[in-house]
Amino acid sequence: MKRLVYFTLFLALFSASGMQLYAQKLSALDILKKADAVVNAPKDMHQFSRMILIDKDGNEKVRESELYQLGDDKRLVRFLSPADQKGIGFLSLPDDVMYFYLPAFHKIRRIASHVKNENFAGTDFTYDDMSSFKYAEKYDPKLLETKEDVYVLELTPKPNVEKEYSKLIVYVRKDNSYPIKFEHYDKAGNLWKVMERRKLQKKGNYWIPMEMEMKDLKKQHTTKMITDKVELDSGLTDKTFTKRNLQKVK
Amino acid sequence: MRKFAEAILKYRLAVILVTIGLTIFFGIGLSKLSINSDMLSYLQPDDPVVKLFNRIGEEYGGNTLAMIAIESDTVFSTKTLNLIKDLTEEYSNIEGVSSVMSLTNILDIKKTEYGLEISKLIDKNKIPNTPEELERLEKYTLGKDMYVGKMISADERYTLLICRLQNDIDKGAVAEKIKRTTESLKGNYSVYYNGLPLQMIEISDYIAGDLGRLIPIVVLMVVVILYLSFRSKRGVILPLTTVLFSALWAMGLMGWLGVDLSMISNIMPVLLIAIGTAYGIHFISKYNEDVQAGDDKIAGIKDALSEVGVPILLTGITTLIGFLSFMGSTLTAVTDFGLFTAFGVGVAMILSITFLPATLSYMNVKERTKINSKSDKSVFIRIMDKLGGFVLKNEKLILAGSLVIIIIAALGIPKLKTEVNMSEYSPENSNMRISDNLMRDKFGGSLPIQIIIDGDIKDPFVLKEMYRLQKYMESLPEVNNSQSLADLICNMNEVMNGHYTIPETKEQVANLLFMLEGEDIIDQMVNKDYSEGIVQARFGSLDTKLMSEAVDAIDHYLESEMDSVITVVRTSQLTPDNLQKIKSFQIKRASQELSLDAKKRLPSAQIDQSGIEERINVLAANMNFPLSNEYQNALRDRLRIFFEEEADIEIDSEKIIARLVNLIADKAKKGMISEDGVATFLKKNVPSRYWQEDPESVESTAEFVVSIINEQHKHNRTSILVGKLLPLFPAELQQNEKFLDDIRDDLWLLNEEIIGVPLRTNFPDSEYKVRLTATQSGMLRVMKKMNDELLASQIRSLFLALGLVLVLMALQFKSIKMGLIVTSPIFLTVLINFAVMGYLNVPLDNATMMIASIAIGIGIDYAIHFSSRFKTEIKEGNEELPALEKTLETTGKAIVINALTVALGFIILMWSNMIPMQRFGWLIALTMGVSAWASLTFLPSLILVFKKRLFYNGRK
Repeated sequence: MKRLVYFTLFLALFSASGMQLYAQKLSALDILKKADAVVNAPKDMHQFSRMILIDKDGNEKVRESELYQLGDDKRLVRFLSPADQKGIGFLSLPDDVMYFYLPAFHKIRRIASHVKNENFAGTDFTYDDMSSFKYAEKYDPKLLETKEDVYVLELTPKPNVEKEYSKLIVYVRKDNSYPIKFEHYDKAGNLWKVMERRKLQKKGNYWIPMEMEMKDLKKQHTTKMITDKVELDSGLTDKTFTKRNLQKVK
Repeated sequence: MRKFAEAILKYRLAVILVTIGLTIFFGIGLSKLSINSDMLSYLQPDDPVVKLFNRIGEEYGGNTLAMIAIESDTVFSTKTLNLIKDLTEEYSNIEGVSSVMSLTNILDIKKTEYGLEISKLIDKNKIPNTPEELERLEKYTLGKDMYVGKMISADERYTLLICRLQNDIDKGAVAEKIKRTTESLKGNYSVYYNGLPLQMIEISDYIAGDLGRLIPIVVLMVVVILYLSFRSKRGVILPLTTVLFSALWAMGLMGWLGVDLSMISNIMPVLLIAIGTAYGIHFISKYNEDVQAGDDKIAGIKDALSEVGVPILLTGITTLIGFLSFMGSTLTAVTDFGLFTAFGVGVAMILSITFLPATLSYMNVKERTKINSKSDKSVFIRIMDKLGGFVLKNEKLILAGSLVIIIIAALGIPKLKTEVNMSEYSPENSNMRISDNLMRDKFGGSLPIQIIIDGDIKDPFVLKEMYRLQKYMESLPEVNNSQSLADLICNMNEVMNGHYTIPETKEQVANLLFMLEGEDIIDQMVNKDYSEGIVQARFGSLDTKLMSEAVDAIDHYLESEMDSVITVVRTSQLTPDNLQKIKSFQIKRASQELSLDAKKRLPSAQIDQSGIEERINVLAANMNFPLSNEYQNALRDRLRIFFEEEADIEIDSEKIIARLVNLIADKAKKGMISEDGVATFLKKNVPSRYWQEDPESVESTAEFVVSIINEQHKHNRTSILVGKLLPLFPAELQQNEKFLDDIRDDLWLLNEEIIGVPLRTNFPDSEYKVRLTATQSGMLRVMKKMNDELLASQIRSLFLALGLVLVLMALQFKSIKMGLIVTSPIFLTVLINFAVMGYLNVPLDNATMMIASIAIGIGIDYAIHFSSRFKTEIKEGNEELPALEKTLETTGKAIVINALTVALGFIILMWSNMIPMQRFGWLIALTMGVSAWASLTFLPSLILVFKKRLFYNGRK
């Protein structure tokens, strides 16, 4: 009798955990896809922000910039200050096509595509970090833990996807599915860079982080992006994302 | 002294206990003693030159570079590149390594068909593995001045990996890890370690090795000498214990005070054991003499102590003076060495007259000395007697001979060379020496030169001065591999605009810098707020004279050639008169740069700078060359793309664009056009529907069109000038691709519209003024200063020692004249020491500069002993000959034994790992011999000649 109870209990436990395993596999991908969708929800975006570069001694450098984004793969960043760097702009288009503009020379130059792993203009973001926030396309997720308010996912690059990172640990908020923290691990398995999105605000139907921070633990360098103003779904067209517009500096 | 002796005997137990107690105390200190092999920390930290050097080293990371050179048949093989990649990655994972620079992660700025790249020279994820890829990489890398001789040797067999270590860490420990990592990954490759942190490991080994090897040898030697002298256990044990105690106390004190053992002070225990033994010997010989004369144990000790106590103190104090005279040396290591050795000598001296007699008093008197084996004594005495007779008969001859020696010696002194190079502290075939040679042969040298530029480093005219300075520096012999922020800006400019020059406006510099921001390498070239920048170079020789010359030449340039206030003018705002002046100024500069570049690419080239200048002057009289076909085509292509994709005026008709491009190109081929001109032209030729809504678009389009036209004209002009000037250079240079780029860049100067001229040219109409100051720092500067001060500190220490000893002698003998006479043998010794160094090419360095003072401190003892005894003998009524014989038999013998002991002790340093210490060892041994010889022959001759008055006063 006793044995039977144990056996039943065992079976119950086994099947429960088996079910859970299945559910987990499904939901890890679901969670990630949902998170991607939430982040990329706005059709277009025009935002003014301050970029604060903080070195290991705490010295800060502030730059103001404006960003236009259409969908996930068209982006134009233009720097507004400091004065001697005003008008410097970057345009990224689909298929790794990237241009920059230096107003002091009246010149646009294309940037070779394989600089993906280089840091973008002195920030702690690489070109790759900035280029796309669709993680489900590049990574395989695994649910590590379900906490009170967040899911903790572990992301490993899909086979044939070349990444600088061996894995990412991603924290996704349960309530709105917004991914708020990314821990990037290097190939030796050390924690390397941490990205956090803070001050989530509801703008219309969308959630927008008003502050984003990337901390490079090796370099002891931090980049903070503070959004001062943001317009969503204002009807941007491809015309904004042209070389012609890149060098148009008011 | 007798009272002192009685006191010692009365409190003998206390004396012994206190000594043992203190020995335990210092023994604990000894365990705290550590080795400091950081050569840079030996420099006087308060010296302004050193201070600056240290600050620069800390802020820009230069003092903490660990360099690893990898040898291979060719660096450009997949296997080698993979090793470089793996090492780079492993190093950067080591805690304490703040950054790594290697071929696989060095910043590279280039233009390719796919666009502009600011990335790594080699993508670590795609190490080339086909012969084609490898060949392409090889050609590209070897074609860039930024890498050749800096990261990779010109013969492509060696490459460097450079780790920057954090400042506030245990450099040695991190270097250990770097070395371990390298050894575990290197496989069959030969690897060489350079840079201070890695060298420190090796030097620590040498220091520890020297200690472990030399101390047992010197102890053994002392035991043998003591045994031969006394033939008794106590005669060996007692003096040995005192010197071992003294060495232990001195090192223990260093431990307690937190002073580290250095490459110089590591010989301290050897010296203390060799020198200090003499005090014990003196006491025990005298004791034996007295006991043999019939004293009982206690009386013997009392007698001996009261008789030799004062001489021991006196000789100890002079030795102490010798070591103390190093105070004020340029190296703290030397000062510390002097200080603690002096302490040790003091301890040995005091223990010999306290602890030693106190212990002896407990021992049985029965153990008789067996010293007087007859044959031994008689041989020695016969020699000494003969010597006495010879001296007495030939006093004048000896003096004359000495005079000849003095003259020959004096002639050798001007041959004396100074040397401050510390690389000799490692053995000839050590990794350190080999890697140092490698750095010199393949990477332009290992000694850094640094010029600190204060000013607005983002200002183009500050950058231009930096770049000009670099060109000048590289024209100096042995100065190689100059590097500064200016190089990066030039490189960026080349990629953007096709010429390797500093751009003209602040905005342009700021634009280029924007693209480089955040790169590791920037931190090594400029400070955070861009108010200070560093121009670096390496020096490829260890020759002190060449070093001095380079430092002086650079200082001279900074003072008189570098423009510290620059007036910036715009050519468009100048009167024709001033414009002409500016033009000739630019042409002169361009010709200077041209001849420097030609010399750099082909050192044997004979360049006629004024000829070039004349030729450019003729050519530049009218520079409005029409556009060649090549540049016309380029202009058309560029304009077409501009109107199709970029222009503010958006024209959607290809036909209109084609027509427009043709019209503009035709108009522009004759010369440059103004912005207004283009705007009017556009309004006339572009249908108004394209711009009516936004009239401003015409102006902005015109602005771009002008800049496109001007650019083509400038390239066109430069290429024409290059073509016409090239025949003035040797054929070899005309084929040299790098020189072709140089000449293009130098002549680009003539295109510039914003120009900086030195304030002294007194130009009106200035846009603004730029100020900068430059100061030389770097190891070379420090070494030059050390070299300059070496002689001064040698002289200072020499005179300090001589002066103090002279005063002491004059007081002791209560006669200045006698003081001078007693001091004269040591004067002779020092003279001969320098002469030997001069004739045998032994340089005066931070070790050998100590010899003279040490020789004075120790050598004077012989003269003291000799003259005291001689004086006593004369006073006791002996005639000259017997007095001399007696002195030679007794004190003479002691002097010979003592000199032998000390000389042997120093000779042991010949087994040191460090060459300067070897030289130091045998030279001191030599001076001991000379000084003993001079005390036994020259001194009595002098006394006899200067006569008897001195001595007979007391008698007659």
